[in-house]
Amino acid sequence: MSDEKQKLIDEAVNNALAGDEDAINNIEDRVTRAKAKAALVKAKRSGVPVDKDESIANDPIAIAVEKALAGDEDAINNIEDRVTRAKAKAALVKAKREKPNNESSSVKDDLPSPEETLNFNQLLCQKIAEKFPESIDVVQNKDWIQLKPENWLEIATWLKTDKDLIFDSLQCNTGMDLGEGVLESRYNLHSMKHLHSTEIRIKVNIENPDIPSVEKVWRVADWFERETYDMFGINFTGHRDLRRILLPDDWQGWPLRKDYEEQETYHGIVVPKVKEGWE
Amino acid sequence: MGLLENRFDDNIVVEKLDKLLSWARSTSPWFFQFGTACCAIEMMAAAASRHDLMRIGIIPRSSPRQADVMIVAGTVTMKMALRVKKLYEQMADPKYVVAMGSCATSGGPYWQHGYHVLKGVDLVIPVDVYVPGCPPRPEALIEGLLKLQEQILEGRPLTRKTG
Repeated sequence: MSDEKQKLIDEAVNNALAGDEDAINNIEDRVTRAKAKAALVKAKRSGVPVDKDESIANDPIAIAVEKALAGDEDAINNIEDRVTRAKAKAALVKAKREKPNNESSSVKDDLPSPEETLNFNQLLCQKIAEKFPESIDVVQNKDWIQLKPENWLEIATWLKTDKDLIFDSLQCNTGMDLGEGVLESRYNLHSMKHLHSTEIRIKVNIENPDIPSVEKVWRVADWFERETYDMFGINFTGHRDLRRILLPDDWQGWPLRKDYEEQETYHGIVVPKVKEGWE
Repeated sequence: MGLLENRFDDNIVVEKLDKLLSWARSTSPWFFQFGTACCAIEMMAAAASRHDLMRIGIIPRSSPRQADVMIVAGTVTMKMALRVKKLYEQMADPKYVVAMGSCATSGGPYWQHGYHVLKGVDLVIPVDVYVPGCPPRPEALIEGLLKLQEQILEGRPLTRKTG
């Protein structure tokens, strides 16, 4: 059967379903008419229009609502029939109410729920607490694990070697001056095998800033710890080469501490403090 | 003296030795490339084929012992300041210094809060020409070097300066 004839049949069946009884009878070709009648019977039995999309596309209300949603404000106002216009407006309100809900729910499904990461940190915290009691610091948070400095080297070795954890990558180690005489060292750990990550934080007193070095566990910690030492003066005990990494060896003070003051001279070079002509 | 050939009888030019020396120095100030930060990129561009510093007799050298001019191109930290001074002292006389860019002239963006930055290279070594900009375009550097050439030409290396 040619495409033209099929199209003719589909059109006639649709019209017949919409109420036009003569649509099929008006077909001139006898064979096509018979086929159209058979298709009509079939369509009526299954209870759905032959082409659902096409029926929607022919509905003026649906067209106007779709255009209005796409941004064409006048699509509905241009409908001449008053009743159809009112129906279209009602449909638009309904469509708008439904659409954002659908979108937000679908986006939510794609993202991992916050409980997943939260649970991992809490589970890990419990695991550490079982293995090393008293090493967990009292202040706890859902996003990181606060440890005491004493057992840090043993905990780090265990974190790297335990077959369920295998934190084989230390991604960053940085320092922080929290003020009020407290320094903090932070470790971002990641497992290349299990693809999970966590953050460890260790607080120390500024008077006695000793933290065990993990340079032997993760070799990359060598320079990380040297930089933290350089800027904050945190003393990583057990580090095999703890020197300043950026500043000269004879530099006085720890620049990123809150109580740091600029030196007045360095090797006889005057550091001007009065900024004349500025501001 | 190829330029002046056959212009005078018996190939004789009468001029001060001072002037001759200054002229010779000004037309070939080889520079010591001292790139410490982003200004070095512009300095390299100035020396490369588009701007071609060689057409005014300026050639980059990698050793302070072969150089007449030190172009300090970029931020100088306190740690580097000692090295700058040492390298300047290694250069043979006559020697000149061009401070290129905001950092080398005044500390630039690190003026107020850069605890580790030298606030202008003139705190360590004497500077002849300052080139502003952050970083200056190669044209600006060339302008600075032409100014330096003028300065050298006016200089009197032999006679004692009076007053």
